[in-house]
Amino acid sequence: MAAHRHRVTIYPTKIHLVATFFVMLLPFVFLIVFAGIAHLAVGTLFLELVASVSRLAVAYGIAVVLAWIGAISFYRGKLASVALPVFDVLQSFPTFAALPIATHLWGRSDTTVILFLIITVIWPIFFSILSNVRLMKHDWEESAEIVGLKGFDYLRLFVLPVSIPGLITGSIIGLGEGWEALVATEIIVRTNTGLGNFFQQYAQNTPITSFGILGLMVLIFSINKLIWIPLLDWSHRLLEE
Amino acid sequence: MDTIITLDSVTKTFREGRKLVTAVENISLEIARGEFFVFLGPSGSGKSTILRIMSGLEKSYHGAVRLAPEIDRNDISFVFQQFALWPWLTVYDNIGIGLVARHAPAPLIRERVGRELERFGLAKFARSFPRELSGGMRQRVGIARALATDPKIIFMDEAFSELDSFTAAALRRDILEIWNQTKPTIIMVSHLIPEALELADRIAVLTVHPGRLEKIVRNTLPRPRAKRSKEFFALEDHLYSLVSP
Ligand SMILES: Nc1ncnc2c1ncn2[C@@H]1O[C@H](COP(=O)(O)OP(=O)(O)O)[C@@H](O)[C@H]1O
Ligand SMILES: [Mg+2]
Repeated sequence: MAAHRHRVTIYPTKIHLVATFFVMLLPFVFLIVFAGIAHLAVGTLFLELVASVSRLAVAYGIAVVLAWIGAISFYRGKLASVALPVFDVLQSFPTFAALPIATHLWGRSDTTVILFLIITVIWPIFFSILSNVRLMKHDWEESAEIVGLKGFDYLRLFVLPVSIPGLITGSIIGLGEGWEALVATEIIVRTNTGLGNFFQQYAQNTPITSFGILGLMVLIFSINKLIWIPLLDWSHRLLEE
Repeated sequence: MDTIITLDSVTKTFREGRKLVTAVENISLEIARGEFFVFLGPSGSGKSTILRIMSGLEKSYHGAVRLAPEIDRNDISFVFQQFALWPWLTVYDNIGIGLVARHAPAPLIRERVGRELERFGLAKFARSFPRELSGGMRQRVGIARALATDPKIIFMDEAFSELDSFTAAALRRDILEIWNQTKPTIIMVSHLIPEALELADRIAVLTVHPGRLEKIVRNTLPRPRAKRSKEFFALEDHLYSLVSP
């Protein structure tokens, strides 16, 4: 009967999926065109982009794991009432103020940039998972208890699904801030590679810089529209009763 | 009496702001193995609280709850008023979750879930999600989930009160049939006198504020019960006078 109409699928149509695939190719197309206009080697530009994106990716990966572990450890119980105000204070820490010290400690390295990206990206993810899980229906928890789910099964079959919507909402916000922080941190730390370095290098050349910024905007917008928004819709349907 | 569960002076007080609310006051009783036992009372009489205490969901209370020695947590199931199905799992996986939690071997899970799907006419919805089902079908999944582990004690908290009266009647018949087949102990909560009379061997009548045990009424009407019989009506009147003195 109605069984197959409302399947939990991330992409509503095949066209959507194909479009997403093409958007993944966009950076490469953009690179080739851009390199042509700016009379640069495609390879150099590609490496800058890869350097930046991989820093963000590593930071995001670490932040997701830490935020998730933090959120599910603190969402209920006595520990939460002590820990949450502490996290609130930590969140307001002005990260850029500590950049010079970090640069002094770790140099103009990937470590410095990644550490700062983690601090930027982690809070929206943490608080988003936390508020989502705290709003969870009490019924579900009681049935998990009655059914006797424990340990790894409990994490995999109960906690993980319940925290997915918060994880995705938080990722969208966190990565939005992460892109900005990425370029800023790279400029401040003066890394030898990456988009920050690129923008710094062409600071005098307005057309190249503008074109670069425009390209970045289109890329981020497309990634949101084609990957994150469908994921968000899917995650909401996941917990829909 | 072959007792499966004993309540000994169970009292539960909630703090609501500055006020203390005694939801359950000093309740002592014994329930027999294989008995169909119903707690009857108006809303706020502490029915859910008692059930949550007996099933282990509520852990802080005064008094004692004793289970027969061979009963452990794995022998207990619960049917929730609002189904409490997990929307991210299919009907099949919802029904099988208790077996997964007990690390049952895959063939056993298939067999038991298959048995429950069959019993409740859910086979063609096995791959559906709960949101795609009607209320009645959802509660069938809720009951199937509770039965899949072959529990010795089944708690039911107003399991039919969210359903239309036709569906509720059909599910009551299903429950009676299951109870007749394997005689698990069923401990149910209800605010409906006819429902209690149709199902129960004994009915514990509770009063509101504080939730106190007014009386335990034995129901010896022969099964299947004729709901239009003189005896049924007489017992109904008797219960009614106890609930609202
Ligand atoms: N978690 C709780 N916190 C505060 N008060 C509660 C809580 N659960 C129940 N109560 C109070 O206890 C009384 C009995 O509630 P309950 O057991 O749900 O009754 P019933 O199921 O018979 O309607 C009510 O007055 C209710 O307000
Ligand atoms: Mg209740």
